[in-house]
Amino acid sequence: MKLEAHNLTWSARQSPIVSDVSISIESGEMFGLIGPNGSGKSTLMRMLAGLSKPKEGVVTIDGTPLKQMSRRQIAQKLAFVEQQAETDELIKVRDAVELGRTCWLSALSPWSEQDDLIVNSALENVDMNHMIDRNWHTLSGGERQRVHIARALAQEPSILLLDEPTNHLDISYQVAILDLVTKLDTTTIVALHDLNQAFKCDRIGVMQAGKMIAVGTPEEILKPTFLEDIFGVCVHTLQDPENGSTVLSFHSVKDRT
Amino acid sequence: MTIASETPSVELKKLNWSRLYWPLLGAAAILAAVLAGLVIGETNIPVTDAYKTLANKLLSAGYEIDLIDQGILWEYRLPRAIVAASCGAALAVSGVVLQALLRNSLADPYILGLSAGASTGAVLVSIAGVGAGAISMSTGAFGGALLAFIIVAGLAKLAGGKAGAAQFVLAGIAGSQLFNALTSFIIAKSASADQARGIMFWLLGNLSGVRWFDVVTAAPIAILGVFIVFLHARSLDAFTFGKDAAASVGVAVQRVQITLISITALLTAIMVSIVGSIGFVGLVIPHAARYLVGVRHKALIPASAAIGAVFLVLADITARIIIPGQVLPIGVVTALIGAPAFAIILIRGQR
Repeated sequence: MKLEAHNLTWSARQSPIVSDVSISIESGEMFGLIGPNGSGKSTLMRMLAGLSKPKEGVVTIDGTPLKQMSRRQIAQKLAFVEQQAETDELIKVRDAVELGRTCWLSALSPWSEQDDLIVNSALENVDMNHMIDRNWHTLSGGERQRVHIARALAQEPSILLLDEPTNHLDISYQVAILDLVTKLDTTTIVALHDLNQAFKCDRIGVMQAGKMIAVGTPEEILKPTFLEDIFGVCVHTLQDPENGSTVLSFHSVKDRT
Repeated sequence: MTIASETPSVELKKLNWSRLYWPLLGAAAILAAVLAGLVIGETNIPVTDAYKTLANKLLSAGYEIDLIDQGILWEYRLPRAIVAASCGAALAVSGVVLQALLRNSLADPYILGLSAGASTGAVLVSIAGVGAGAISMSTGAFGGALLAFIIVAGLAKLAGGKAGAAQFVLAGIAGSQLFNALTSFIIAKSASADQARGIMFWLLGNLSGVRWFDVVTAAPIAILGVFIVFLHARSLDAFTFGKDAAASVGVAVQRVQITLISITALLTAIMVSIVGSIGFVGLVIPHAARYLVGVRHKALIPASAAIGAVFLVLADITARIIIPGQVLPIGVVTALIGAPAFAIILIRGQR
């Protein structure tokens, strides 16, 4: 499904956090969102997920504005993984993933075996199927993040929004989660902290001070001259000896001389 | 293929059994508690007489039985036990709702000031004569409970508290104090000495005056309220990771919050206007139920309702017999049990 945003604006106490952002993300595309901390990535993600109402502008799924859809209709099409959602409840891994089925269940269509299968495959996808009986508070940060992603997958969304999904993860799971997300058929928007991970995206949008200042392919965007301006670091490109792909290396600006 | 077709039927059998087991156990426990409420008292009445009375009254069986005993059983103890059960279920489920929506394990109608607000509303109508007889005591209580919640929620928000934060409980304490002070003020200003004594007793929770017409209000409201909350079990589950996560999985957060808070206020108000404000049931029972059946609301709501009902009937029995010749306010009994339980929750919450 196609996700579009037209002229999104959001401000907190008069100061703009996101101003006049328009993007169009094609069906099946993986779109990366990069930018320094405080550039408005998370706020933009929340508006795209329909959790924050934009002060101005509209978000549409296949042409239908989000505000014309019920929460349930939105959740059946779009799943969102927040940066950190915590709980004190003694909830088990499987229970947490089953929450993803909420938008498909009602009094008339109660829990079925089909739902069990979907939850199982979501758990397998993030490699958590061996921990279904573990209590939430015994999980590591990375395991919690994988459960949240499994919950989102259990929603069977056409569009998946992930806000820095690889934060707190061990490197092996960073790679695994990103590979998983790359392979999904869903339209995916992922806010990323690690610029090298952004190479896996089809297109990248760059946020700076609340504005989307550039959109393009990784080859167009992830160039040293451009990144140096935005992130205020010195950037070099290296070649991965294994497959010849480009790797970014960062130094602080003062080392440059 | 054969394996595939067999697996579901095994699953189905298991499900059916476990589906029936808990509801039956719960219903049996409530009935046993009510029966205990009938036979235990200042004068113990044999169980057979209780059965005979029920048969006489419900089936016109015509058993020979002491009319005084029958009167005590039917006119006093039975309505009292049914109202206690309704009240226990209503308060416990209110606690479940508030704890889930506010993500705060210390939330309950009493601590958040809903009970205090309901008391003020009830006293305004019954003593100060607000509404000039056009509105009932329970309507006044409902208004007071809702107002109290709005004030407490507003204060918590102004204090920068997110759901789950301590601010909500602190705001609840402030709200309770405010409304209790208002109640005392109204009593001091408008009530005669006799009225004042009666009201102070009622405020602590008192089932002495309960008759059948109270049952007609309390029982249907409790059953309906618990049922509506039960229909929202999945939505309440979805609040586990907060409002945004609930919205993400398709819960209409605002509608669910407004519906369920109103139900909670209604349940609290009705119970307060009949038996006064009873503390700790809404707080402690949900924790006990979680310990038994886990955190999923589909099991937690009926379990809390059943345990709450049984607990309050037993608390009422205790209140009637612990001091010979004297009836304690039931709120005293629940507090004596509830306060230490509260302490345990606080300590375990450290984790």
